[in-house]
Amino acid sequence: MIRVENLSKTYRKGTQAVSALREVSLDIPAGSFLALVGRSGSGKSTLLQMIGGLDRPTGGHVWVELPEEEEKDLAALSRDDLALYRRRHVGFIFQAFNLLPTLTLLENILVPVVPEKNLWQEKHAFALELLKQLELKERAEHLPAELSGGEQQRVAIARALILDPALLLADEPTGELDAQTAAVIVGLLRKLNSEGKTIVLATHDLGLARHGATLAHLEDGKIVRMEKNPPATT
Amino acid sequence: MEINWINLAWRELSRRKTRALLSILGMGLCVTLLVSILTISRAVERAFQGPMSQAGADLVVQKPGLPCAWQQVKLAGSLSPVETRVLAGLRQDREVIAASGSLQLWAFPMDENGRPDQSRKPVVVTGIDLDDLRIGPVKPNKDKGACCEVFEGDLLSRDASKREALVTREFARIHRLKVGDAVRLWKHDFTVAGLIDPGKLARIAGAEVYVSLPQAQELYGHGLVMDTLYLKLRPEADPRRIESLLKKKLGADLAITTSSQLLTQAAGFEVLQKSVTQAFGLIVLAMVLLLVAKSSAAAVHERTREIGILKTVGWKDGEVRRLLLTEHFLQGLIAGIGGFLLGTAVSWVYAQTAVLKLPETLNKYPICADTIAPLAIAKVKLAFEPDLLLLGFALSVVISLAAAAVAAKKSSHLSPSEALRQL
Repeated sequence: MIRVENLSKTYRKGTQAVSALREVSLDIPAGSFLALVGRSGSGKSTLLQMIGGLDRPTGGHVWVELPEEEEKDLAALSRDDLALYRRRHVGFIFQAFNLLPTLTLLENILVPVVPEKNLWQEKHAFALELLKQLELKERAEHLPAELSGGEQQRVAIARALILDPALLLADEPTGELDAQTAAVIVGLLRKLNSEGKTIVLATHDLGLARHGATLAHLEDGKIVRMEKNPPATT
Repeated sequence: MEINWINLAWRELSRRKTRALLSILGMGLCVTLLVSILTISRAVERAFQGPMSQAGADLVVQKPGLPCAWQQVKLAGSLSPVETRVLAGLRQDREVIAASGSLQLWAFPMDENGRPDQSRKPVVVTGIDLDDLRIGPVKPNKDKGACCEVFEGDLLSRDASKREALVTREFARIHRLKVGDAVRLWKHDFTVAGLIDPGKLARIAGAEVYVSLPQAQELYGHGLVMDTLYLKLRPEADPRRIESLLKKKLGADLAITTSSQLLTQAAGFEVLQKSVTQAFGLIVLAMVLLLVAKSSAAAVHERTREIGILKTVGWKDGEVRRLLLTEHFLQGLIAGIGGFLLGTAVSWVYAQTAVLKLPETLNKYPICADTIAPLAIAKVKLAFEPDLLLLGFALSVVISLAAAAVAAKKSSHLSPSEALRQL
């Protein structure tokens, strides 16, 4: 369960203060599929980053319930604790895939494991399993540049899943993909949600957002409307 | 293969070959410079310590004078003769282990009519003190108790009635001499008692022919004199006291040479090593540090997005910093090895081509002598210097890490969202 409480984020652009989020409050139950939808600049990516502990709010709180731990406010965590929160509890999927170009697919998937040396054996086997599930096992030793956009995004999903996080945050995950490939990626996200992962998807594409169980419409840094979707059909 | 900081760092270096190579080259050249200067200066120092250690002396004492008028057998160069009785006093001194003397002469050949034969070259003759062979131009072998330099025949006899000589291999070859043959010096024939290897001789007062000191004095004909004194001092001895004692006895204008003075006299190399090297080295070091720091900062800046990715997937600041420092450590290590090898190669080339001449006072060969080269030159022999290898590594790694430290700290403090917004 994630509880966003009066969350604000103001950036400084030169001498001007730009409010990206204005006192946003929101509950994200465990195992839910929330779509943040809005135009570019509406604050959906900023909200996603706050939930994922990639940035700190200028006001408000992001309360997270972690397994076997007390509820924590991300705003109050140290930099190292935030890093551990991201590593162990959150998987990120980005529009631009954000793979490391010098590493093979298998290595890219295992990058989050490098600091967790004791997990290496187990996660190496899991990475191969993920590649198999994503139909990329034959390309494990390829570099990202040798793959199509859809394949790269699947690798990014595998990387997001390698440490088995409860929360997956996807920021415009199909933005650079054709419709057919986008459908595959969305299908994957829905499958993961059905397996118990909490998914938060940020998109400007209302059609894509409709795959979420709940839609939060953002405008100008505020949630202007919450909408429940009818149960999705596959 | 397991991926860890080292192979992640290696991939990054391989990817940014040009930048990595430039940094490695900069640091490598810095190490090359340092290693070659130190290797050469140490080798030169050893080369100039050679004549002193081969002579077994801590001090070599001479009395400069004016060139004497021509005579059939004359003092070599322009040294004043010193009476040998000084030796007896010095041998009594509690701080002196051994004292010895030599007399170096140029013996001009005569023709059949007893007149100077100007068509033939003078022979360089050194009279050696057989009373104390522990020090001096020709020393006995410590292990065998015999003269190590004699490779054929024997050392000179102490019997004053026998005129015997040791001749160098080169002189024997040129004059087709073998043991038992006679070599004529002025009007006397000397029997060749042994052949000696000039490479093993102390190069101070080096000669083509060695005779006993009394017989050299007889050739010279000006009494019981010598032109060079050798002193071996006790470890606790105060050389300044000995120097002032000698000056009191022999005059203030003495030329007293120690191994470090020999280095300075011969090439001024000590000055080069201690001042120019240090100043030059510091300038180069500062420039390389600046270059690598700028290069590191630029490389880290270019990788802001990648650093953002690592942070996004949960790497802590310290872990990102560790990766960047590992990359720079590898760069430094490669530069250290390369620089050491290149520095050693440069030193080797120098050693092969160097001609280090001894000061003329210590080895007075006439320009026209037959066998000048081997004895007038100190040989530069390189040695493996493990401390320089370590110094090279340490220097390049420290430069690299120092240059990266600021950039690594700055980048590790970037917020991941800020880093991902780059590019």
